[in-house]
Amino acid sequence: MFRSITKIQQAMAKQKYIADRAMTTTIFLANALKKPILLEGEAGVGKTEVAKVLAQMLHTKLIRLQCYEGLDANHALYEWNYPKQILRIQLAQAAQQNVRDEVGREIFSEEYLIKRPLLEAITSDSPVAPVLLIDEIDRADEEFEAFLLEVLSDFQISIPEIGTLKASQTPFVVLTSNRTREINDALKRRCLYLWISYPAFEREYEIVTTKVPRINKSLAAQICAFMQEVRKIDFYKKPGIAETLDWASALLVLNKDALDKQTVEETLGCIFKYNEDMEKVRNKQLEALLSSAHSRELYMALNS
Amino acid sequence: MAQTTDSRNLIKHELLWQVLAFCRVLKRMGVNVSMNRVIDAVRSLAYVDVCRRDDFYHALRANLVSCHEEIRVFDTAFDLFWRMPEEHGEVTDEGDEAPPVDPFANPGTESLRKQIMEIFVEEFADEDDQEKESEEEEVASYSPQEALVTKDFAAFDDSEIRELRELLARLAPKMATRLSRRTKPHVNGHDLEPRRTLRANIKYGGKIIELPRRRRKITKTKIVLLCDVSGSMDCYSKFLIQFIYALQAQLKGVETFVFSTRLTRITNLLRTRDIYEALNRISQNVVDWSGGTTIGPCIREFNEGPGRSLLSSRTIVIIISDGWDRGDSDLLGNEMRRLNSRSYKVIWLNPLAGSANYQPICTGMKVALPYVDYFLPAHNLNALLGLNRVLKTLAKK
Repeated sequence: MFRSITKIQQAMAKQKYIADRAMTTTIFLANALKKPILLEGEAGVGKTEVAKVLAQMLHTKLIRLQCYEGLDANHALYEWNYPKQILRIQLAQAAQQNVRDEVGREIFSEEYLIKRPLLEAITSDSPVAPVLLIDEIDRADEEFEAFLLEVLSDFQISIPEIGTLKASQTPFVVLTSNRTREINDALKRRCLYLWISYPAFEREYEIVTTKVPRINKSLAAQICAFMQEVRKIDFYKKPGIAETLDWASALLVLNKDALDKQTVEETLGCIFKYNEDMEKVRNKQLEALLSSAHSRELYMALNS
Repeated sequence: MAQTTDSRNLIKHELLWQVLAFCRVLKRMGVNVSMNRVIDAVRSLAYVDVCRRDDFYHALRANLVSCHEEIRVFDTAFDLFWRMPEEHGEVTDEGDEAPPVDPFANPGTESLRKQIMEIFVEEFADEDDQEKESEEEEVASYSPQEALVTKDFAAFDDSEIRELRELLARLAPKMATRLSRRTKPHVNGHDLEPRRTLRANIKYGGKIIELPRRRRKITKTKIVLLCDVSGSMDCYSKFLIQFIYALQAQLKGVETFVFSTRLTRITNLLRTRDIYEALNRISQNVVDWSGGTTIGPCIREFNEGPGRSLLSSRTIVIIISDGWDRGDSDLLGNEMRRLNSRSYKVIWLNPLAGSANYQPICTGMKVALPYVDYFLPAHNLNALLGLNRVLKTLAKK
């Protein structure tokens, strides 16, 4: 699968992910150089999806670490199963066993270890290296980044009671960031960088028709053209591909086969999640958007 | 196929030098290119077909670029460096390199090209000249920082701006750490703290008697900045925007607005790595820059619009303005009261308050003052450090 860039593109297409050359080249290189990929881009352009698709096409496990504020090593790496340890000690005491040596050793064995995503990725024994998704790294604290840096640089973890665990195979690491703050340069340096922008019309059209296969072709074109126009306007939250797909599915359920003013107004909630943005569209721009969407669709029909 | 190993090596060798030169140019353009990245970029080329221009391009880009803003510089330099007769043809065929969606990306490209061309010329000029030049550059950039800290922003000349920016960039992360969130031991916390539980109960022989708990130390403070960019603030706003830029780059949850007669949200505009680009974007998007001031309606616009979701008992509102208001002062008073009641603290930074004999006599400032928790000067860096101290004490509570 990783023999050529084109092969990757085909494999991803099989998983219904329409990837461009930039993405497949980066994935190809990440595999060749064994480097993590840092994915950045606007919300809803399919950053997280990349990791999921990768895991599917490699037939391997996806291990996901969702970052949040205050995430610390205990939740990312490992934790001792304290209640289980305590129970074991109390059992031993009840049985008048010598707690000190035997049980002491036992309760600090892997059996009593709760593996959190990072450790799980490192100790995974599946035939193919797992895909480790570190999602929304910008939400975690800076301190956590420093810690992550250490793990990602040599893929080994030292547990004082057990020893050093080293990954037998380097996991495929994907980091995503929504850029609510800048990521530490040192961490960036370890990664291959990929920026996912909003797709061009043709690619978005391909995505919609792949993901929502039952949709009417001309409606799909209208939807995509409309979204392309919408993204030219400055909104509080610009809609991504996720919104396009939601909208397409919604219109399919409603049995619509063309966009008109009323339909758009009724389903505006699929595209915009802020009232201010909806008002903005409703008040002035809806008709202009619609007409340029229609002319785009017409243009496409003429060309094909 | 027909190539001999020798000629292939020669080509590789030649290409290697070109890639290295290209990296040097990028570095001088401010792209964060480290030795490691250069090595990996060169290694990558062994895996892709370098005759395919788009693969060659993406392989270099994935390695050498580390944030979105750098892509524009990279693209321009790449085009200049490896210009092809058909120009882009191959890339656009694939449909994947659509013209950048970013509407701000285009206007500066010409000047960017010029800048890169100059670097090309310098880079391949006489080595001696080059050394001399870099020496000169260093001498020019040296100047004592202490003077800058107390100098009034209004008196800054262009050469000092860069220095100021560096100082600001160093100041902002300090503020950031003050506001981060950690857990701390607490008697009534929600989470059990297993490590401390074990340790605390060793003295009872392993029987669990004490249950130490922890809970989140809540210091997550949202900051809303409202910056006055009317004509009377002209000589200050330019610097204060840089301060805001530095602050926003380091802190999560900062929302920034500018106002003079209307309110404009610039949080997204500042979200770029390049301060010039940010300033450029702002000047294109803020229509009423250097206009008159009507603070009242602007605060109302904020209260009734974005404020509804942004204001909470954990929000610190920082208003940066000289308080010269030509609007209705009753309205301003009312809106300030609303703002104050719905936020944690209101801080007013006034550049004029720096002078020793400043009195808040202008009507705008007078009516607003009762609803301001901290009234601070903002005329120089020292004053901004004062803001730092206030934020620090607020975060502790």
